Amino acid sequence: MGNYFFIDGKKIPFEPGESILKAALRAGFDIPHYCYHPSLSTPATCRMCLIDVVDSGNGKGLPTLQTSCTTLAKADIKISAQGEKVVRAREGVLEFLLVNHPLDCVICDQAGECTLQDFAFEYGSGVSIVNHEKRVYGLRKIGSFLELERNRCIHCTRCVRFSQEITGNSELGTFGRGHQLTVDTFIDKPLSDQFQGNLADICPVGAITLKDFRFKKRVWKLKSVPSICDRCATGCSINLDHKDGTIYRITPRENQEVNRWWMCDHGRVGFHDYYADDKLQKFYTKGSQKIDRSQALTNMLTTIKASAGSICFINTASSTLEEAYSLKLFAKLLGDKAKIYYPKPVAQRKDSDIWIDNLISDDKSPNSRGLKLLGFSSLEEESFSKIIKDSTDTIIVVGQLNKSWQTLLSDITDNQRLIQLTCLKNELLGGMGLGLPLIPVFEKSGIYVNRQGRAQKVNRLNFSNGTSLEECSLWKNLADELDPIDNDQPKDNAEALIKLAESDKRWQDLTDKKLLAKGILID
Amino acid sequence: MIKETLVLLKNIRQAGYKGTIEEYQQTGGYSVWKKVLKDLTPDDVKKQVKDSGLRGRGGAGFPTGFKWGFMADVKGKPNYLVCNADEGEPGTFKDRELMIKDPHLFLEGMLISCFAVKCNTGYIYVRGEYYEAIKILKREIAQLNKAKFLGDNILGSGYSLKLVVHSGAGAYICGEETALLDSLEGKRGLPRVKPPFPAVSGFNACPTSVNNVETLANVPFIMEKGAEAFKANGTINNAGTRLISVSGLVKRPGVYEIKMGVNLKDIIYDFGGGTLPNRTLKAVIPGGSSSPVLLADEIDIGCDFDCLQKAKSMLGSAGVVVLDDTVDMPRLLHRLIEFYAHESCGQCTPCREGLNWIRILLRDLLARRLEKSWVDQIYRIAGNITGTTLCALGDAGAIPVMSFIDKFREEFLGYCK
Repeated sequence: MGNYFFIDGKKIPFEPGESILKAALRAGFDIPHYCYHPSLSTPATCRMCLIDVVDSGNGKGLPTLQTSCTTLAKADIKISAQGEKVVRAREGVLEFLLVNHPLDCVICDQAGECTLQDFAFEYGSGVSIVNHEKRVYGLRKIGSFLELERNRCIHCTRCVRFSQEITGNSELGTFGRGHQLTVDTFIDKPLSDQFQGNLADICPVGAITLKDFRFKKRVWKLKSVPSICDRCATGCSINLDHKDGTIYRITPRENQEVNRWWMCDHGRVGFHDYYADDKLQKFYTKGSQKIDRSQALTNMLTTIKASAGSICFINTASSTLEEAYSLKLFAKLLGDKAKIYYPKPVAQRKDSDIWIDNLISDDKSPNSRGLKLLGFSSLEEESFSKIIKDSTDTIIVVGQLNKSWQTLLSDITDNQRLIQLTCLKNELLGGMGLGLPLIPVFEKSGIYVNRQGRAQKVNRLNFSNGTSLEECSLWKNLADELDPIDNDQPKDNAEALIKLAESDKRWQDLTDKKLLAKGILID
Repeated sequence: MIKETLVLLKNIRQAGYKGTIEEYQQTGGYSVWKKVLKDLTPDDVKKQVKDSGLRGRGGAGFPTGFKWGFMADVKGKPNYLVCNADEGEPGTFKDRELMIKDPHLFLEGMLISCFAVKCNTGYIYVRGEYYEAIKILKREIAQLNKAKFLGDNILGSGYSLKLVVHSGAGAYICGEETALLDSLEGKRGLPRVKPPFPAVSGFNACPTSVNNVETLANVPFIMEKGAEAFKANGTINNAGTRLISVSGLVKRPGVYEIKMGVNLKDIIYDFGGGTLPNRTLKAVIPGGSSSPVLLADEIDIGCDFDCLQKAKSMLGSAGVVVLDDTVDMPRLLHRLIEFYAHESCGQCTPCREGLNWIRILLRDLLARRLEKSWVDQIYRIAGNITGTTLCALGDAGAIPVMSFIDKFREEFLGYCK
């Protein structure tokens, strides 16, 4: 005895109250299914996960096939998932699903990650006898983010249940009856929430696809790099789907501790910012003159050397933990005149009853918590204004300031110097002081600590950056110039982490595997 | 020549009976209700109904006493009794007869049954097309309230009951008990996953018993004359009388009451008057359109749940449809499948896609566009629907397809090119 049951002779452990399908999937045993999704209710309507209970614990089987998503696992029951009855029923269900499904895989974005394709290949009969015209639904627009192609729909209603049970807005519904059943929004009302992209993820076929990814790339040509999203302090686990270093889309990666299966639409398409025209790639002097890289670095060094008074670093918390630590060491080298701050994070509004609403943090910096842990001081907007007006000698901004902070920079007088390191251009940047481009988040590898205090790994895509600067090596180069003999500056992120771990036990044993899987709760 | 056994139709068969509350009381009506309120506990009623062996008359034939027994007493949740008067099975019209012609017999049964399952609000879900029945039920329930047989603290017993008549909106699927509950809750009528069964989580997630009109109409007789008297009619395991709706190509279509187990042939010839002049009997659908068809030489058979099951058909809702030699079976099947494909709720795959596919194929068959091999394909497709769907509608549509092709293959082949 024990909490085990058997599928085709294979021993499967289960938790009491768990369905056969759930236990089987966890044990790595694949039972094909469409309507079942671990986050949603189980309507048991696709009929794909049918199994045969050949022994329900008393030596006798059940007369009819059962849906494994609703049949509870019981100790010692014996299930057939490969028996003739099951194979025939699955073939039948697939045949039914394909009666009206268009054969447009060649132009369908889902092709390659479509479970209808996969299961038809694996469990289907391989032939079709359908010889009549297929069902055709009219075109429907459901908003600017998603494309709805109802002819491809297999009516699993995952999207409808997502809108009812996860976002709770019930913007999608089923309409019509029988073979005219269809998924739609109400009276041409477009979808309005910020989590629409997830509908495309959970759609097992190509009925709901992202407009942003439409016709961009065949998915089998894409490679995935696991990483986390940098658009806010939540740090959703994501996959960067790229080809030769160009990102084509971002998809959420399951992490039950942070984002479950989901992510918001801002994070999903945010990567375009780094490829848009406003990506900073050139070096600028005060007055928006372009200069070359070595000249810019020399200027920066000269500025720092020339600052007799105080130097104020503002790190906007888009630096990784390692980069921030490296900055901390650099500031130490400069002595007492250097101070480091990060903008005080916006407090999270009250928790919403709807879980997914809490997914978007009001603090838009990915690493505020990490900087706090490193002992950086946070700064209110008024204090920043005061720092500028107090005639701080040099202000060095690392990262992208938000708009109102950026506006405050215009108070800088001619006696003050400003250096801005960022990966995004903006109108004020060039004119105000020295402007240097940083590498975007996809080109660096390091640790962010999210608002829960969970350290997670942000991963770089494997491609060479251009002229943009990498923070650790920038501080290293400058430190070497300032004090060639006696500086402790790490040369890259890996070395920075080792040094950090030496100074503080909390940062030891941060293996990539753990950081990527669920993250490590530090604080 | 066989005769009817009058239990449910005893009032209706009296000439001039209008079914008003006064008339019903003159025949002894509501004396049982008074007796139950005065002398019996809900468990007494449950036990007597269980002992009588009454089986549900809606189609599945599940023992009513057991069904009531499954109802869990959950603290803080009321119990509900919902009467399924959504009589939608083609060929069945017995409940309409009861509701229109003798509403109080059914209502008294409903009252006693509500008392048995400790329900304080009973619902009668009536098929939308039965507007006359809805009108009559509403009117007669008002009469009951006036007569104080219904309402708060009925006849000083401390028991309160309210009855609500709810009209369906024309969907066949809402006759499926869980879809009916969804519809009653104000949602789309979609069959639910079972378990949990309604007895545990039904209307508004409360313990609910869903019973057919005819089933409930039997309760006053059982409570008045006792379980043994009820068992005396019918056969072992099939106690009581049964209303049979005879329709199709017979001389005298209508509702007839028989002891369970009476020969089907006798019903057709003695009650139905046999086939029309100069026609011969071809086939009989014995239990509503979803039951497997019987050939003319297979109808010498007892009309009860078990005998028909042995003959690989079913008694179902006891809608006997008589077909003679003028009937074109493929055409009839096409009409039936038009109905089932149209009434599929669409949530589960085999029924949604399969029945419509069969509908299209039968259309093409009748237009003589199909090769002979398609008859076997249609049979195979129907076979893939049976036993794989969430509720019984898939089976209800696929079973006639299989039985029609089994028994009239030549006719189908005759339509092929």
